[in-house]
Amino acid sequence: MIGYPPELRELIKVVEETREERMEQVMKRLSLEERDELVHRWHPDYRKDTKRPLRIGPNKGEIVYNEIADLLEAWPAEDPDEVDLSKIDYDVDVLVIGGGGAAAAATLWAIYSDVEPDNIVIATKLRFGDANTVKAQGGIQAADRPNDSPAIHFLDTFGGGHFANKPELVRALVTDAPFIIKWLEDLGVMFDKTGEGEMIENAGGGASRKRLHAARDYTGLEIMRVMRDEVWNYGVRILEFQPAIELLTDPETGEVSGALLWNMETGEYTIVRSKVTILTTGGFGRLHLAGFPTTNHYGATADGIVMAYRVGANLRDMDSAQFHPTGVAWPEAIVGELITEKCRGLGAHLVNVEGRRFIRELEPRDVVASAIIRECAEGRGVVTPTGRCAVWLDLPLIDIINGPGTIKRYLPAMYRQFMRQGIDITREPVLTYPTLHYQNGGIEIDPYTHVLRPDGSWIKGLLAAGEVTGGVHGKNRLMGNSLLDITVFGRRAGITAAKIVGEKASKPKISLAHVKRYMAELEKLGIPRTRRAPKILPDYRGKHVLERYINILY
Amino acid sequence: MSKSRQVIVESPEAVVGKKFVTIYYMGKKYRVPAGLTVMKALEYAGYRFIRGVGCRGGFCGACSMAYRLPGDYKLRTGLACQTVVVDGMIIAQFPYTPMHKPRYRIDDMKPDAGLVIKLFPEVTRCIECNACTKACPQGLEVMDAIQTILRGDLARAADMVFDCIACGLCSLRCPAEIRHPHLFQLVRRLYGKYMAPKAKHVEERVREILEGKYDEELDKLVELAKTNVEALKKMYMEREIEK
Amino acid sequence: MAEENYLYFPGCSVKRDARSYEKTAFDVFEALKLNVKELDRWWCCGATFGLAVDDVAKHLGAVRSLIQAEIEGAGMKTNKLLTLCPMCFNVLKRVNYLLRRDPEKLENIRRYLRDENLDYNLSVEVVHVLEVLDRFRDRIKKAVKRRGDGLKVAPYYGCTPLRPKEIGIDNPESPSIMERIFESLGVEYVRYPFKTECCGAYVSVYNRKAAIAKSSMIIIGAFKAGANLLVTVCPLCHYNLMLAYNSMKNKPPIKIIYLTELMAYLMGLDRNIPPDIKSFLDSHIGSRGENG
Repeated sequence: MIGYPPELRELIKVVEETREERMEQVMKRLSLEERDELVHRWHPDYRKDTKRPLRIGPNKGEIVYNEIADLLEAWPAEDPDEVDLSKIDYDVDVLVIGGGGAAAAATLWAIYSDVEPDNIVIATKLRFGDANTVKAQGGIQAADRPNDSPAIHFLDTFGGGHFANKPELVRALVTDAPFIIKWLEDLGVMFDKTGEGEMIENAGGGASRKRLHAARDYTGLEIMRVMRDEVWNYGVRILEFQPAIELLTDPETGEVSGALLWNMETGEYTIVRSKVTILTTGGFGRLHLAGFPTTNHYGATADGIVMAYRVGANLRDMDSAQFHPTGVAWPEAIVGELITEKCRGLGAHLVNVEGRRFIRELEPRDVVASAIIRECAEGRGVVTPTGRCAVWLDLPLIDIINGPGTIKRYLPAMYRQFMRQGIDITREPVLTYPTLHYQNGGIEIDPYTHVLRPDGSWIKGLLAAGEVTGGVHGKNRLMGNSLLDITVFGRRAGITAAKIVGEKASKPKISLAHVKRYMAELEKLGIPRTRRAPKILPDYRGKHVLERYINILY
Repeated sequence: MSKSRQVIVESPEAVVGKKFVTIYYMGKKYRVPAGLTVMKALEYAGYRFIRGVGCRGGFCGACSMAYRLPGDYKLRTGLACQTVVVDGMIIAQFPYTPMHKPRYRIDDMKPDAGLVIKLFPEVTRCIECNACTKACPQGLEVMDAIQTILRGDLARAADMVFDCIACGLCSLRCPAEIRHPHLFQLVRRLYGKYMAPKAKHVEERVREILEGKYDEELDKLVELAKTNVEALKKMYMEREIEK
Repeated sequence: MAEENYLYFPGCSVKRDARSYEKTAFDVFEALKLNVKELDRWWCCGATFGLAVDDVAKHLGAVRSLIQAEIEGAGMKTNKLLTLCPMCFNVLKRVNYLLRRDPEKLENIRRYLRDENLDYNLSVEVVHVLEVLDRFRDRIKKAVKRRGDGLKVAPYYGCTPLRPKEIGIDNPESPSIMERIFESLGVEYVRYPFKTECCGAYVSVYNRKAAIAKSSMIIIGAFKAGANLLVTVCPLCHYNLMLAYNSMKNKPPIKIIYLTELMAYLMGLDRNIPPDIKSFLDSHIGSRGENG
């Protein structure tokens, strides 16, 4: 195991020497103006070179990250004329695209709302559960303590999102929250509780009350695996390694009527027709916006955005990405991985090379991330052995403040992650730098998860929930609101889907007509045919290999 | 003031130094940069994974693998996304653990070890070889947990296996053919649903919400959000923050 | 070594099924001022499979618990590992015995466990609760609070505390250790031919009828000898005896109980005695039996 080299050990001494003094220090809360200034100056969202206006589709002219524009201004993976739509492989009521928490919640609530389990298909790129959900460590918000209320939760979420959230969605989020916790508890989720059953709730950045419910620091994993177990119990058909690459539409009504799936291992396509399609494909971390490493899972390539945009969905807040303030900056083996915000919730300080704190650690994420970027840019960061810049996160403070054993009990994943690299976080601080974490914006939905066009009308037959959607979090998501987002809106999607199934007497027709229209536009713009989307997987193969690559097994 | 630093994508070429090690992946030899995880090293070597990769952060259990180190008889196990390459290591991945899950209705269950053993009868075949514990990349006391289930203490067992990521390595090594991930999932759910004390304050809040206690206040906030954001900003800045 | 200190190996049956056996045993230990502590970690003894064939892997569970006792014993100044369940006693003691006689096997096991930084030095003595109680008969006499008038007890040993003779705690054909304890308790006991007869053991898993036949013979034998209590020290025997008793059309008025339940009752330690046993005992000796 590696552990810290001598030059870093020297720098750690500074952190240790200043610890006592820092514990006395109270960091000032920033005003809205101070926050704005910090974020505008340092956050990647405001860098000029990272974005451009879209040339195509419903949001033509709007500014998005370059990597998103590349995907939206791209040709489909399939040739619509080569796809035989006469043979339907799965003809069902509900198709769920995606394999994370939103997919599981939607499936379960569709079943609870009387859709037959046999009439649901889940199609996902990796395995069911290989999703960002399992990586969510810190917790899930819900205003259920006596000194808290959904209204305070609303205010925290809205302010944290820079007042750019869609109010109806925030309202749904905070109102359903306690109910979701109750539901998960009844399913058997092992939340951290006192002996009397009271939830142990922690502080989170931007939240004015302690309302983070956790299951150690495996909160997302615990929620995901319990919901997944329940979906398995119902025997729902799950198509793994079979992502959707295109939605299908009824050529007469324009409603969404299923999807084209692609078997990643055999290369063949399959056709699913459905009365309702629920998009729960997650976000864009693996596009590495602005060149940042990411906390996201391997499949987070924004496929859902691409598919929905081609059927006319409105995208919102796609100019904004969440950079988690504390990604791992060293050792290289785990660069970009998450150091949960719960660490700061439990009292860990952010410290620069001089041993000083430079921000109140529980400001909203974009503010803290900006402050870390500032410290590094202005020369107060630590340069790692692999040439990255970082600041310290003083983790041993957690045990000092909360008592010995706190880290091992409540942050076992963190402890383990660093122990594997020879670093003992109960005794040593760690190096951290912001990492691409979350897609704040996405497909616009209404509180019932109907996908909307720019004019506010529904795209019939299409629902969406979770990170693929926009509006819930405005321009910045608070910690603990993503697990809540996927369960609240996943549930709502399942219920809405069941309602649509009940109302729709016959199955719609299927076509790729909308894709052909989109292709005509691409043609007009002269987009090169080599640029294709969705991306499906990132490519990390070594340059020395790709330079000599011959594609023989066509 | 210096310009904001360009941060580099996790492309190994960009950041690794000159030090290289030799690894053998399913019998083939590759030179890869030192300091990388097995997963990143294999990608550097030209592999683009479909299976055997998931969250890349040690949570999903998709990238289980076995390896040996030079001069050592021990068959070691680990996660490809968490294990750093060592010179001379020989590696194989397990893309999948064959394991069917018994179906049950959690509402019809009881927190009773007898019921658990009925669904997973192979538990009684444990011969205490401890191969499971040695295989666990999470460092869990897997065998002790099996033993704890056998003696009927589900609460303790649930606590012991909470950190399980269902990679399946224990099940692949188990001579009793126990299906640990599914078994442990059931035990945890039984604890969470039936044995852990209920959160009464959550129930209370759900009731208040259903009674409409917060409707008026939330209506007002939504209205303000649409018509008078400045007023909302003021409320936001003046809100009290719990210590 | 501290004479009154024992490490305790419970076993799965005691923890899962024979709860009152353990609870009343601990009440008795407390009254006898014995210091008995459950191992922090222990593993299934391996039950019958442990000795079925000569196979290192199948001894591991027992050895692990012996090692754990060795580790904890240092701190508690004892080398004695106490068991309630005679099956656990039998397996643990036999494995210990085998390893002492077979250095090659011991070395095989050591090699396997070295991976886990474990080693075994053969220092542990496995003892059964009957041996311990026999040793502290004086204290038992003093601790008795109720007179056992009206009780007629049939001792039932079964096989595993006695056989094979190399590890047995008493004469395998004609044991008397339980009878000595009854004398200290001041209860009358009966003689009958089946006290070391097999209860049917694990045969009950695949041939219920055969096991029931064996156990029924024991119950009826005890009853015909005039007993109103059949006393056992084994959860498996208890299970089979109850199975047989419950299958009888004409149930003889005899109660099947654990030795420690009887002891706890006579010592006035009622809190852990199952209610049906308590009322049975009450009805036979009545309140007149109180002498404290």
